[in-house]
Amino acid sequence: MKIILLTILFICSVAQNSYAQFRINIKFDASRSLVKDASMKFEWTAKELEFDRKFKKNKLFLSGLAGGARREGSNLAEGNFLHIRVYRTISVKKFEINPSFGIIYGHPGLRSERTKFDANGGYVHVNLVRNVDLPSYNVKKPAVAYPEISLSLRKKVWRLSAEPVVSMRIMRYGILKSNFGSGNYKVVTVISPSVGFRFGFRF
Amino acid sequence: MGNRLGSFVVLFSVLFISCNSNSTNPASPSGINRAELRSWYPCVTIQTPGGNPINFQMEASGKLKNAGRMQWVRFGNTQVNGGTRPYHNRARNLGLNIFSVISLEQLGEKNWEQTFDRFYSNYSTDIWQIGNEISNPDIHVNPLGATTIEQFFPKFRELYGHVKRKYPQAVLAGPPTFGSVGGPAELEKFFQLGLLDLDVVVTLNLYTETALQEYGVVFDRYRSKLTNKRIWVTETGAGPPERHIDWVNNFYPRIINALHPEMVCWYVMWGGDSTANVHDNDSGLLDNLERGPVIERDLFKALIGSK
Repeated sequence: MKIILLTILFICSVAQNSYAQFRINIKFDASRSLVKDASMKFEWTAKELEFDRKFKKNKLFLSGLAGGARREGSNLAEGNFLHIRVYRTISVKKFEINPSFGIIYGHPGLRSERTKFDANGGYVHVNLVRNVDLPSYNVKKPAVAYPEISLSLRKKVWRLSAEPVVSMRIMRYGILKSNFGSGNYKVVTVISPSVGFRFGFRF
Repeated sequence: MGNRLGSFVVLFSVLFISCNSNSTNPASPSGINRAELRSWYPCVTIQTPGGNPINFQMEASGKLKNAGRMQWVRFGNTQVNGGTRPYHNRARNLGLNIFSVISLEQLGEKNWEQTFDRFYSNYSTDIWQIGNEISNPDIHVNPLGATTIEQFFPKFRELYGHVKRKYPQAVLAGPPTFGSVGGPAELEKFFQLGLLDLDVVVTLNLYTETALQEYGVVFDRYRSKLTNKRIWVTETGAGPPERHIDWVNNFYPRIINALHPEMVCWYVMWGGDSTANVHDNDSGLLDNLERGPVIERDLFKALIGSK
């Protein structure tokens, strides 16, 4: 919670710069992870609320910074994330192309955990590998942080904007195969595609 | 400025409403046939008082066995002198596998090995659970007082060595950790102290969503060491009775997906007759065994196919 508040405060404060453009966005997307080694597929939808500050001039080749909260799934106990991304704007006629790079951080819960038993009593279990701590959580490393690259095509009308977004996330999954007496465990990297739509409002 | 503020409030309200509406979660377990209780595991815990309950509980076990819904019985209390042998004998006659609990109180301060020898000579049991929620201060669970993981584990390791030397075929299970607050952190402490280096069944109790989430996290961190482990959820269940079927249909699949257990035991067949003020039997499959007439709750009826 502290991190959420600090992130929002930070973004709100930099947005006070009257020379910058400040925008609030919402995004809806659908994502998919195919864990081929275990023949398992995860699909999920999400919604995002984001504060977006576009610089007056490009800084370090970057045109803006955005960040906010992300909600995946419907179980209140899981699927809560923060994200932050930087982007570059390239104007092409009446459109803007925005490639971006970001980090998604949060508590995935058990949505990315799945077990399949076979007829012989063995099983395959797949889990999203957790790699970072979460403040005030009772056990260590319950959260994940993974990178995302995305590309959007923005069209602006008055203060509003709309943009389709495609992205790729680099996620790590653990695969446990066991019959309760023996087995093996390995970690694989999965590129997870996502498509979505972002709507914005400029202040 | 007023226009900006107004537009911000309107936009924020729209976002708040849309972000709080429900959506489906395709990644959650699906395809559960509610009528068939597909996720049920064939294990029930039975407490072992004398009197009429033994007949009713073992008859009920027979019905569950015949319906293919019970392979294991976990006896919540086994008396060292053989006093609960009638339960064990009847379970064996039904063809059930037996999981027995030796409590912290029965183990006492010293001579855990001697105590185990007496149990082993009196009972035929497939898995021996050593202790139960050992840090629970509730006197009904630990009448002689609770202990810590650090105090318990060295004695457990010694007992393990004794059993492996003297009874190589015997199967031991560690003490299940709490099913709610603190349980997952305790299990992690057991793992850190070396529980996964021993050839024992890993056990835990599980009663809340939060505990499930945290157990999932602990398991994720130790997956590579869980490849050859038998994992048992020794107690789960919910009250009031109207929630039983929903618990099996919706919580059991989450347990399976997160913890890949070999067995999940429903707590409990009967936990004492319910009264207006006593709700110890909220998760019981049966009620009214002492007062009569016996009440078969909805989950029990659904399991044996009479509902």
